[in-house]
Amino acid sequence: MTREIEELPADVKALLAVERAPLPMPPEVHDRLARRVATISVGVAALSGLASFGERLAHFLGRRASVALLSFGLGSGAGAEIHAAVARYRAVRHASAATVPVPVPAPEAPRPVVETLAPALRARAPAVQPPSSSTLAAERTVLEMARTALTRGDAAGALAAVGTHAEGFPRGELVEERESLRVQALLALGRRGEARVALRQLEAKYPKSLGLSALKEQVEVAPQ
Amino acid sequence: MPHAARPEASGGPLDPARLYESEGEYVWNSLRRLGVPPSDLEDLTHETFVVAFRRLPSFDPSRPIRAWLFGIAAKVAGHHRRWRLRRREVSGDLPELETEEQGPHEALDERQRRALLVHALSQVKLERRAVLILHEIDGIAIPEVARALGIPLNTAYSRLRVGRAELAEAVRRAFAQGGKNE
Repeated sequence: MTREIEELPADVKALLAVERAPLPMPPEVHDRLARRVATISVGVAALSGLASFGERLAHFLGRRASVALLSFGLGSGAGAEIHAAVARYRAVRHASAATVPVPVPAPEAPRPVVETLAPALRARAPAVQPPSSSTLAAERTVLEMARTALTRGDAAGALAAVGTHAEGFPRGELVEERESLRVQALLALGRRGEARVALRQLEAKYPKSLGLSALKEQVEVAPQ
Repeated sequence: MPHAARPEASGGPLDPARLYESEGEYVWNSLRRLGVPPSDLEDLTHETFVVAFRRLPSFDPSRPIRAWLFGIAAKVAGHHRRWRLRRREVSGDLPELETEEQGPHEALDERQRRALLVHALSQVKLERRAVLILHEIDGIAIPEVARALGIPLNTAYSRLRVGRAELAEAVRRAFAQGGKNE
């Protein structure tokens, strides 16, 4: 099908060319937004699909030896789900000698989120990948679990996932994020004193942490 | 062709905590181009990310993330515009270009050109403005523009055609208005 669309005049094109370079965001706006966005992302509801999370974790763990993470004592519900996902992943993995992307086995019920994310995970799991990126992916995945649990109101599960990360990645790349989640999980559990201590440690180690001021506010307003 | 970020290129924007760092400025600029007034840019950027995080699991990483984010930003901007219209806060006046030599665009500095273009874009209906920005500024191909905005392909081409004509006319008017102000 031919679509004849008139070209823009040269002067309009010239104006558009200027606008193609982004206008730098004022630094104070950038920083303020970063703090606000960090607060949202910690409680992001979208990541709360535990089933999809299990599938994602299975993909990550299936290609690295970090499967040991699973034995770190997750909440029973989350643990069972993740174990089931890993089992499904491995079953397919072993059934296929292909090195090309492995289809995710159909779960009991349709899971559109999994279907949508699966290609992304396959795309991010090439045959050859530096170990560091895989480790980082595993780190992220465990912390996503903590966020997910927080979003579901399962603060104990979130704290368990934080502990899992601390045990598996004591000097990981996402320690700052983990400790921020620890503060929130403790607050959600009503353990304000421990939250305050954790916050102090976070601030001492990461004085420029993005969500610090928001966390301070939360600790201040939390009931004793 | 301007770079359109893809997930694998930006180190995993599926991680919400990093999405803002890589695409915050893009979203802020997109809202500005869509005609959101400066005083509301910060709040609407925030709102766009709130929605984006909620919808993250439905994002198809094989697609350009910027087009996806733009689709969300355009909806946020649309809601905001309707809200402002109800409060009668929307003005069609050409913003002050703050120059002694308004008129020929060669005489305008970069900031003034940006202001003039954003004003001209604001004269184009939002649904066509979104197509123009994504295609003409962000360099997104029309089929992807159609997907990002959730419209049929032919509609996207139609909006591009009409939008170009309207933008060209709006730029002509803006220059003429600038000339009269001299």
